[in-house]
Amino acid sequence: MRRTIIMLFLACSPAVSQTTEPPESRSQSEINASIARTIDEDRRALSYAGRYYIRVEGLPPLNVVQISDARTFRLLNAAGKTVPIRRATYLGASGDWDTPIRNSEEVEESRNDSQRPAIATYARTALWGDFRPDAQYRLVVRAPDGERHEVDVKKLHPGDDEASSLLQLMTDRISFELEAFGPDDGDEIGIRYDFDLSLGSLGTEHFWSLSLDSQGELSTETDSVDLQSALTAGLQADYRYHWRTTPLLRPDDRITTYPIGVRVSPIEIEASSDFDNLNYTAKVQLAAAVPILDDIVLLWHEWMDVNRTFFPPVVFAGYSYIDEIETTNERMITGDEHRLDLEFNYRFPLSNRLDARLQWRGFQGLETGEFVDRIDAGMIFYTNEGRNVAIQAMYSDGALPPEFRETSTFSLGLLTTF
Amino acid sequence: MNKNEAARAVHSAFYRIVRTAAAPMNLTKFFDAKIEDTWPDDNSPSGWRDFWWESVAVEIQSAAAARREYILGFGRKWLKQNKARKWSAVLDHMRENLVPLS
Repeated sequence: MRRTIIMLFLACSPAVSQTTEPPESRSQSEINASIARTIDEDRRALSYAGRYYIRVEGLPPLNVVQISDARTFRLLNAAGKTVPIRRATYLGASGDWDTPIRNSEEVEESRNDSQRPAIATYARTALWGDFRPDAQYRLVVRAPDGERHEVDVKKLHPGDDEASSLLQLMTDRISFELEAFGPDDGDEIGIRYDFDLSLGSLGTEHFWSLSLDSQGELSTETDSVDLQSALTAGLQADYRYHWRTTPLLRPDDRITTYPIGVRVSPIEIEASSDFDNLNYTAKVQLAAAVPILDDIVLLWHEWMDVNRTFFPPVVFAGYSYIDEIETTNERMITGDEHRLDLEFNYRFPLSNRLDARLQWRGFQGLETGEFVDRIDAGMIFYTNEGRNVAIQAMYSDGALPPEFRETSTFSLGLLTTF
Repeated sequence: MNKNEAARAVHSAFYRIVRTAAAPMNLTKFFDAKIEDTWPDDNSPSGWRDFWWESVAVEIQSAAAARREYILGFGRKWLKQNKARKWSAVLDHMRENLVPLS
């Protein structure tokens, strides 16, 4: 309908010459142009993208040759001077998107009745260049039939499409898991937490991300001998690639991905909760999801009719450089500057409300030759359908850096995820 | 991409990341479901806490990239902020924001 109106309008508009008509004699049209902001990911993925671009909508149908033709779009500033357009691209889809979505069983039939046009045309374009969000621009569009249109480009007002409130920003970037638990011995309360602040990411097939992470286990009693006193906090850069394969154990041709990658933590501290024992560490680790083990979960879910999603088991293995900044005689192992760290994480959803959880961590000193490990095995019962509040029963045995104090505890706790 | 190509790209990208024993929803049901209703439990390992949001967004962008296209303004943040909307909102966004990759 809109296209019909535009065409009628074009038929009624007087033909004008782009070179002779002064900017003051402006035609009316339904073409809309507005300044828009790109997001960080856009600028990383698109070599031609700047911070701002101009969205042009309601155009008569243009093919890619016409869109990229330098005569099609001309941008003028408030003084009537031409502003360079570095590139014009199509924006959005071509063809008819009003048809209903076909299910896979209908796709074979649809292959024979494809009505795809020989040359795709677009009603939207994006103009790329060094534009200012608050500048007054006027866009001149020369349609394929020679018709000329002029529109004011809507400015980007402060607050339009702005980054959200600080609260929203933090909610988008932070994840936080907290557990308060009571050990089987003593009156103390233990705290386990896992905090992650995402600082940014880039890439598609090869994905990079940067985050601040902190994890820990501590007790309300600073001199506790039953619980660990172990905190870590640091900057973490992750490279991740999604390796695609077909599950081995399942008679299913569905392709799934297994993340594999490298984790680099150039600055990380390992500390006791009172900071009397403090390590600076730098770590490089390989990270990989383990195939086949997740097929067991899928088979279990099929047999037990469990409708859950889950994460495949993940292994981390790598080297850590250790610099002991503060140390006391509470530290059970000292002297290792070089350490091999291993970690295995497995969370097995047994039913719609129950998970089994296993985490094993191993620390091999490369100078003292001492090996210490820590195992946390337990069950998680979710108390709500959103599965973000749970009761966790956990058996923990072993030691964690920096003190490597051996403890063995059965605990019952309340686990919440934000 | 036309609408059906885009729908299949989004649907298969989602199920490449998200594992379920049940057969994937068909396209009609999937795009009529809210994003948050199909979303996985928050059970990703430490350090990969945003894995689901990041990876589903990356796989959808990769599917577009395989066709030499890119979805402007789409990523982890878009999915999070629009999780209360139906998956068809992703198609609506693609309809207005596909650009050539290079």
